[in-house]
Amino acid sequence: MRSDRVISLIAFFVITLSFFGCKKVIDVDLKNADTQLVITGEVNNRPGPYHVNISKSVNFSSDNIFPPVSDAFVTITGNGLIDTLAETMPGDYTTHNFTGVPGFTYQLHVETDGHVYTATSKMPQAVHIDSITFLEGIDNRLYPVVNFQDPPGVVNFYRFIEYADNASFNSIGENSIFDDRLSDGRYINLALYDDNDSSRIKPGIKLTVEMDCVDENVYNYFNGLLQISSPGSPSPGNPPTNITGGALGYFSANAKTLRVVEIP
Amino acid sequence: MKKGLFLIITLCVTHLCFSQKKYTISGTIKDQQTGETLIGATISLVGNSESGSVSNHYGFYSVSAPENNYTLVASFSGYKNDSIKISLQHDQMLTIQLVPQSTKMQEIVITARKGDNITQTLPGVQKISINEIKNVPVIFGEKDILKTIQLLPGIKSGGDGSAGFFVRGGAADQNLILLDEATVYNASHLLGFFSTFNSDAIKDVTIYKGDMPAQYGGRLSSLLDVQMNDGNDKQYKVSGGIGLISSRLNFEGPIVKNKGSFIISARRTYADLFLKLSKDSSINKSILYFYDINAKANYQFGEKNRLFLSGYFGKDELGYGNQFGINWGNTTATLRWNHIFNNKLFSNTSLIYSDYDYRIIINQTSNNLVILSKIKDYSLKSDFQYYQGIKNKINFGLNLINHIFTPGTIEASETSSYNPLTLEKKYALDGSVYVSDEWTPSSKWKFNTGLRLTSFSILGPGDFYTYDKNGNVTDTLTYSSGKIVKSYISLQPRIAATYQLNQNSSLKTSYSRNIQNLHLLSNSNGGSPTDVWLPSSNNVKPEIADQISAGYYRNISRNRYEFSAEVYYKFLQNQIDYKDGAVLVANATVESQLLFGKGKAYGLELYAKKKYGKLTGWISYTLSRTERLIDGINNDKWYPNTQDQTHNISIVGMYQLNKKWTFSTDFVYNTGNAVTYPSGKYSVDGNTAFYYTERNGYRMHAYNRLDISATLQGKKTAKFDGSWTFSVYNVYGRENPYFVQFQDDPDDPQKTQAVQYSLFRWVPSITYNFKF
Repeated sequence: MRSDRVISLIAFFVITLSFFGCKKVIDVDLKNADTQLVITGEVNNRPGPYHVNISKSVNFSSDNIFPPVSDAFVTITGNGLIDTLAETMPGDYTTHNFTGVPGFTYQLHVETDGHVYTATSKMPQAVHIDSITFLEGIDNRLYPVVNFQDPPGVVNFYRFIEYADNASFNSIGENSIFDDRLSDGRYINLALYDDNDSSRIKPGIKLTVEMDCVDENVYNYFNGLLQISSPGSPSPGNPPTNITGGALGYFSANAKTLRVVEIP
Repeated sequence: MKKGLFLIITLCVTHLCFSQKKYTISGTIKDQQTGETLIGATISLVGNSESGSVSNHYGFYSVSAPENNYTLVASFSGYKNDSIKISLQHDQMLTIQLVPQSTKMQEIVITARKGDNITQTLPGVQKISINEIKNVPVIFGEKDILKTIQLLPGIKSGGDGSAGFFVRGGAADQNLILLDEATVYNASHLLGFFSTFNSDAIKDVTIYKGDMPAQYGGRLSSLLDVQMNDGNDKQYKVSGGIGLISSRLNFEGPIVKNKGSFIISARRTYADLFLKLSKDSSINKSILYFYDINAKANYQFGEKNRLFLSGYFGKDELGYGNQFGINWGNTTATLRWNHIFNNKLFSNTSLIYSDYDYRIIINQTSNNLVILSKIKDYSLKSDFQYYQGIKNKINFGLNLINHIFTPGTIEASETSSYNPLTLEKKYALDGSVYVSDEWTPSSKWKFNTGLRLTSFSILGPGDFYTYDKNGNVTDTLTYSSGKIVKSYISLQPRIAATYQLNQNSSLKTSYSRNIQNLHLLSNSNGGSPTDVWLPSSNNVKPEIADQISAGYYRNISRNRYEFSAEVYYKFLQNQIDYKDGAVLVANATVESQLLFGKGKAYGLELYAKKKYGKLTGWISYTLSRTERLIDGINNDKWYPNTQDQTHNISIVGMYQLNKKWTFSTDFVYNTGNAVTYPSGKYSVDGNTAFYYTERNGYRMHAYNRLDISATLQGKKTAKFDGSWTFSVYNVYGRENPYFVQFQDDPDDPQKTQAVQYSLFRWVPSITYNFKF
């Protein structure tokens, strides 16, 4: 139970119940920071290939076209293997034949424009989803509930992503990350609250829920990402990255399980 | 030689025979109709400008003067002056009873007197009369002390929906709020929409903006001292109000006529009853209410002893069906004993209990969870006032508080996703002694010097951790029950001087040091009821504030207008902030999440008030800056506090048209809060994320709002008095910013936009008030 969950629920009440309140788009005059390099990549325990994306940030007022960075030298090392990734699409680098194994540490190495960026992530042991059920929440929406057993005595960090008919949701929702700090060894029933588009959860749609077991640094990154997208977050800051060298983004070695259900 | 010696002896003896003996007149000053003691009334002797007294919290006064016949004048705002001829040939006691003024419409001539804004020593003090609170229009038609003080200079509001108030750049937890001497930990209901003070039961409100008397301490920025009514000791009275959102009822009367009385006040909202009518299930299952009860009884045993028993109980509840709920509330109980030793020595001894707790209840599918957190205080306080003579009044005393913290307890069933957990309780002992002297060497100078010594200890039983830079535990030490883990001893000097330029104006200056050993951990915007109170420890040092201030005070046209200009500078040490993503809930190693640094605040406060006539009111303007420098935040550079509102203006006006209609209005304007906005954006896994550079580098749009209200006096007889109040909050419906969210434009996903959320536009309300 995170305090920010409590806060956002309170904020939800305040907003819903203030019949006299509203929202509007405002003009903001934002300073333009220097362009930042953004690297996101993962290695998991399912068959590859795995992807590393490199792009750049843009000014707030620009269109959402984030320039991909090409011709970077990207390698992933781990479990005795070194793989030099090939740029299959602009800014999108993919691995060749290797599969990640839980328990091993993987390293990302990126060289571009004369700079070097590295990251390390250790793949945790896999935890499996037992089942997906549904919960009727506030405003009569259906929310998927992930049911699984948290391994006792191990510190676990989880990340959840939902897909509807193979297209990923905007996955930054409440409970899209979870840790067992207060729940070690319990049987978990975790409702995934997605604050965004409710139109995707409709009867008959195939919902895929993906559970990633991640390491602590990756969990902290997504926790930070969740904070800056929460309504009224008091002092937003950049999520703590596990990439050294001054880039934004993350490198995650995770153990994935997926479950597909049809929404009733 | 012998002749010279004889002459000297004769002169000495003559001098001794004719030297003036001083005598003291003392007693209690009360309202003649209700028996309520009057706080801060002035008792002076005509022709002897040095002798005089201001009645204390219990209405006690003591005036000493050379042996002579005098006319004693007693005066207090809202009452007719009383002149009594006395013959001061021996020590005597006198109970003074003042008659309330029926109307303020006539212009009244008041001479400058001791204890008002010109002559009282401490700068940065503001008294508010209950009449002013009753007339200022406030949201939902509720009279509200906390909202009214936010219209004074130097005191800022956090905005709509924000619970706390901010004094001279200080944080929301740096205000000591006392109700009949008991600490109130959370002074607002429902996230700031209502305060926990039912103004029907309140007698006196004083706010000290940092320079508090040595008798008080424990918070850095202010003292809000609220005294409850004692209860009408002559007849039974019922009063109350029925409004759209909430109602209140007040019942008071004598226990034994003229000897003892009681008062009970209660209040409840019923906003949730309206919610049940909604068709929208997200609204009709919502639970939203609060209630509070104030109760007090007192009895006079003989002339020298009086006993008071008072209590407060309040609760808030927010929830959704039985799936989710939060409740929180304060409870206080105080037993006080006034003892008059003699006409110069007054004492009050109190035993005080105070607690604050909250519960979060979750009940979903097979998941259930109750998180509880609590702070509990047992306190002994003893204060003595020694009216030494014409020139000196000495206060001394002690205060001992035993704090017990329950930082977090989780109760969960077998099927719950959460483990039951009980964080160790924390124990602390806070002991203070103080002495202070109000010295009036001449009619021009007055000095108020005080010293407060505090020893704060955190005690076992429990485990105490030491951390490294990354927040990992490097050492755990276990202490047994009662053993001292860490002690902090702090000396807090308080020095103030007033120089009276002439009868109508004065200059004041002061320096004071305050310390704070209880810290509120909060990483939400307006303060949440689930914030955690943490004591100073081996890892957390006491916060320290040093403030200097100076001011010029002037009354114009025989006290019809009051004007003041004050400047202050405050330096703060050991300020607390949090790491990004700090985990504050149910965390035994919560101290590892904290970052420390310093702060500073400075500003200019201007205030002008018209006190008498058909039109009364005030204007206040504050120009200020408050910033902090925390190790690990904003690249170790200074950044503005969220409530760094550069300009802050309040204009309040009350107009009594005739016996039936009274109008009032207020206008507020302040620079928007400091916020952190992005300076760029990028993509992570197909979602837009925002890039931040500096902390609090931007401002939200300015806040401004106009409220109006009209009161229609209904039938008024000796037995019944009713009136209607109509008000509109935010008359021009401005969308004042509550927070700003950045997101992809739903209509054009290629663009991002900033969306400002606001809470209230127009909020009308109707209340019917009655008294019988």
